[in-house]
Amino acid sequence: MKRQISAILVALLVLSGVSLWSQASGGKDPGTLVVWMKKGFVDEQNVAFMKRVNDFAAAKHIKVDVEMLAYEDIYPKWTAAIQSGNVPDISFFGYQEVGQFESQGVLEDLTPLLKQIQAKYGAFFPSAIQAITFGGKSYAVPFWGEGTALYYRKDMFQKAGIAAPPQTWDEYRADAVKLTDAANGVYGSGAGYGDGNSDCEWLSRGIIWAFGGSEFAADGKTIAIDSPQTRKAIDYITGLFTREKVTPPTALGWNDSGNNTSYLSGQSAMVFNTGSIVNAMKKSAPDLLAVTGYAPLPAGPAGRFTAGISNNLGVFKGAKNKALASELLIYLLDPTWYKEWIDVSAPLALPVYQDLAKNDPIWKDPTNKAFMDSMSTFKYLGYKGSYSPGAGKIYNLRLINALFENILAKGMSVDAALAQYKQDAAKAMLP
Amino acid sequence: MQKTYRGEERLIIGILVFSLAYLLVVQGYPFLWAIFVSLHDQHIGSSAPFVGFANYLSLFKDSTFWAAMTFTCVYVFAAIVFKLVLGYIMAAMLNQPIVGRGFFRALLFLPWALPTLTSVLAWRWMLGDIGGVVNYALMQLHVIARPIGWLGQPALAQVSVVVVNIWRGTPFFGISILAALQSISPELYEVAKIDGANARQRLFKITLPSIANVIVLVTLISTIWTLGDFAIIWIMTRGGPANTTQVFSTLSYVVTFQNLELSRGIAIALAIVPVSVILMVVAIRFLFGKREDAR
Repeated sequence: MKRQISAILVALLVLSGVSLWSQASGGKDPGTLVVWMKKGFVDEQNVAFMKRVNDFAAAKHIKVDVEMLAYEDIYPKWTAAIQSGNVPDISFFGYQEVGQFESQGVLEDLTPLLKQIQAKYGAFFPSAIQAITFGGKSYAVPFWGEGTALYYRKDMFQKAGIAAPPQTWDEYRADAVKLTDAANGVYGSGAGYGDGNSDCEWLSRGIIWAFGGSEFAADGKTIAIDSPQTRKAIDYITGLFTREKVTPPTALGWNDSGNNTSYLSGQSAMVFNTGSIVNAMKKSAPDLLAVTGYAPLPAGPAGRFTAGISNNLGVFKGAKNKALASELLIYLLDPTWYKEWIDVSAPLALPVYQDLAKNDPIWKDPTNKAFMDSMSTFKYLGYKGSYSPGAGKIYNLRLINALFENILAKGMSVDAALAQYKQDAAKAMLP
Repeated sequence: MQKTYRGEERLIIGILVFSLAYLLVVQGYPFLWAIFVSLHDQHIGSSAPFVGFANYLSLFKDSTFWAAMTFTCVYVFAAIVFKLVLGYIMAAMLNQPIVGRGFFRALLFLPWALPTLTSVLAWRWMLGDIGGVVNYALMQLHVIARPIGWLGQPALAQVSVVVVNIWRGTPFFGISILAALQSISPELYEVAKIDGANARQRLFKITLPSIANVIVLVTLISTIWTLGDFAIIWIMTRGGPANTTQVFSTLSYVVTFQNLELSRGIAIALAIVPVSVILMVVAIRFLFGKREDAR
């Protein structure tokens, strides 16, 4: 009996020792290429990415470890990886993380690689490069964009006597009023707010910019939110909830799936989203797909703006296999394979190659065109200046969301809500 | 005989050394490391100058921290009071010789046995406006005309997260109190009845004094758990709307993993430690003190 207990103790000690060693070394053989990729909504795309990386590994006779991670799960992993120095060789980054990590000096300068890829395969969209370029150096390789478009119910438009989708935000409001039938639980505008909700962060910025307002001055650092233009945009947005009452009564408290669910259930006649709803309708709501139209975001007095979403692949400075990582990035961006990978999720993922966007017939399809066209109206966090880590932090803190929640849910005055935003934003901008 | 004694001694020492090593590695080191980091200005990936208590002092000027502290207190207090009262009622009912008692006891345990993620997601769905059972039922009963945004209005969101915590935590109180009730000898009640004690007197003179130890202990343990609760609030509201359901654990997560301010995030998490330690010490002294007294 005693021998058995001793044996168990020894086994536990050995196991804990092994576990500690494994933790310290990241549990990975330095010869293994480690790739962290954001898990997308379309499974075929996830599978295709993993297959491509595994094909590369097989051709190079190396081991590879690909992790497909939900966006939210990557943050804790980045944190632990950077802090421990045990980083992956290639990682997915939104452009906001590229800026954040670049400012901390942990990302590899990929400018030469970017030039090499473009020389070999064709030019990227300038806006895609702009999003990950700081001080003239690019710290990631653009991999795909995500456009936002207006989804509208053609059948409801017809019934309400509306001939075409709204071209301006004023028209949008007027159409939303006509489409709202609260007694039957139908609302014209499927826009909402809620903690952690990123859709409303992007949409609100698009509206504020269209009204001529912005969070930042042209230097990208000075907080300039309290302007007559921004106030007009705030009045416009809050009016949809409180004055015109064209949003679902539960839209405060929506997470990112809120507007998707609202549109798919027939509660909202118009919503703004990336291509994720199209893919959901293709899969489970073909009838709704048939009566859905797509249009670019409406324009405001200052023009048409879409808050751009840029997804990239980058290499940490501390990566163990940088040369192989660069080779894999070139391999992943080979247009022959890349086109197939992009097309499988259209219109969710947009290509970063200009030629592909221009020549691939899939982007001429009316369903996909509005999303692709939105790329030309992309502006990024930090507008009217360039992106800064502080702007990324303000986005991560969902301060625009908080601004509107303070007004709409807490009943704060616009002055008080703006003052709160300025205070929180100033804190976020501190190095 | 002596050989056996030495063998046992070695085994005991071995277990103690192993336990101590385990505690130091798994509990002690991370805790000390957390204190160390909280005294520096550590952003992820950056150098970390020593700043002393600056991170803690800055919390006192932070309105979000105070909002989180206030709601943490409200959340814990409201949840514990209701869990205790409902747990006692459940236990008292299930202590009666009712038909299907075993089935109901198993049912009582269910909320606690379900995975947190699954059950809280179910609650989120139930409180939703599209297909949400709560809004649907209230509309069918003509209590409300339109769906209510349970998680979109500050007061309603606060009530909602507290209700889910109560639903999830009540079985722990119920089962513990039920076990204590079953240990009371029925003869005590019979004698009291013969002596003319009414139901109220039996409750206050026999029942409550007999289960007081269990009540205190489960209250302390549940308070510690509720103080550290993360999943319910994160899944339901993420601390919103406008930070009105933010508690220490969710705020600490946001600051650490979304703002990448490691030191500040850890300082927020550690701010609750003194309260937890006091509660733990009281619980341990209570538990072991009683055992010592019993000897």
